[in-house]
Amino acid sequence: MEKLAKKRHLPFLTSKVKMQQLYGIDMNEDDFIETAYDVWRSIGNIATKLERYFVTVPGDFIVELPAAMEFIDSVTVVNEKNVIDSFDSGGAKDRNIAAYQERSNLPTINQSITMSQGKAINYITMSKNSIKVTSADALGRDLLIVYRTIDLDGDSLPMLNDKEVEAIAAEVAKRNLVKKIFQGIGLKDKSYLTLLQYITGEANRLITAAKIDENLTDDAIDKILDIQTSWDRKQFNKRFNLTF
Amino acid sequence: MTLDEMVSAIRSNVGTGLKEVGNYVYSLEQIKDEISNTRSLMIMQDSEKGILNREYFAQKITNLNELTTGIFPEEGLIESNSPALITKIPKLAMTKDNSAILYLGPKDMSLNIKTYYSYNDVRMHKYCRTIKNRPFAFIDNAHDDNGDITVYIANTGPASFRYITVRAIVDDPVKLLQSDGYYVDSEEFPAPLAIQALIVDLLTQKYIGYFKATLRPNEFNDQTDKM
Repeated sequence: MEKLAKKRHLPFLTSKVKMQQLYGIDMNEDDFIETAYDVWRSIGNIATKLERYFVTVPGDFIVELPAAMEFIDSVTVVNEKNVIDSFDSGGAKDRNIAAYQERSNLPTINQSITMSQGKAINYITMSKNSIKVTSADALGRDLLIVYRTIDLDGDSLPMLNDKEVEAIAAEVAKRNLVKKIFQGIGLKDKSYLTLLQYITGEANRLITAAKIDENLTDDAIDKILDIQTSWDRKQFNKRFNLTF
Repeated sequence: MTLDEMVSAIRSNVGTGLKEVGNYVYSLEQIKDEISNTRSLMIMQDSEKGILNREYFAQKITNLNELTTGIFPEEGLIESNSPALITKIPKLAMTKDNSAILYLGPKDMSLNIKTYYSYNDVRMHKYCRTIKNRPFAFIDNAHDDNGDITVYIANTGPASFRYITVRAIVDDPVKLLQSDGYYVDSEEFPAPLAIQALIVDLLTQKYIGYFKATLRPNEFNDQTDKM
């Protein structure tokens, strides 16, 4: 669902400011990042950006991918229909060049994606950020690889939305308090345990909230309504799960 | 208050507290030393109470020796291309959560380097999920004969710095002030006034206690109230 969320707009360290504002916790930046990144992964809404990459399949069929690549969406041979004879397949192309707009139906921002241009081919993923093309007829052909990168801010940390900022602030505050208690600081002070109860509930609530998008687009609702189930799904001794 | 004023206050308090009994002997130098010790004691005990704000005890150390290049105490501890940078800092106040260092990094305060205090922790830095390539420091609390401790900084990269600045709560604040050769006991003692008041109270009570326990003069029991 995170594909359809609106663009994240807050830098990662906004959550540190929020933690300071809400809970008055002073923390080393690196310590915060290490903990907060864990929290961010456990929330699980990885905001990604769509990128594309043009490359010619070399003789050994092994195609190196950009280092920032996190997930591959599609690998297709693209000089099928709307072929442009003269193009440099050295790397990603500027979207503003008319020629490349013509040969791609990729959306710019937040449009539904059904499939990529061209003929899909088979590949296997290799180590060191590369793939091996297993379709023999792709040799020397031009590939369009559509992939996703994590949406990063100026510090190369993931971008966040408002819900994630609050959730990370609360969860890091909770972990900070737990750490203090384990270190034996303030153990005689019973109010720490009350605080722990409060912040645990608060952090769990905010993390649960952050797992849901801020805004459900029409496409997202459409996807939810398209869940494939049979009308007679109830069976004795079976458990029913909603699956996409 | 200055160190001299604090010592004077303690001496006066002990004197008036015992109704001008003046035949006790103690060293003013010893009280001066004990004032610093008591400050350290209060910072240590604060881990149970949590009322102190550490920032108000900070001392900024800018005159540290130039960083020298060396290796970490144990070869192979750090898998990095840059060797460790080493310098010495004064002994730190003991805090339970290792929060004595408030800033350690380049002089322009642009990068607060993460600090480790234990071998077990520093060895695991390379397994950090996001900050394994960031600079980090190891504070070796085993002090040398001057009471200084060694700081190792690693992962600083090829364009590293030559000097560091440290803002920290040091164990002996007066010794640090004296290290530049200018501090005299008639200058301000490095603690907030509220803490100075607590130190004076604590030491007064302690000395009165000692006096009563050990130095009470023998007096004839003539059934009259001497006080």
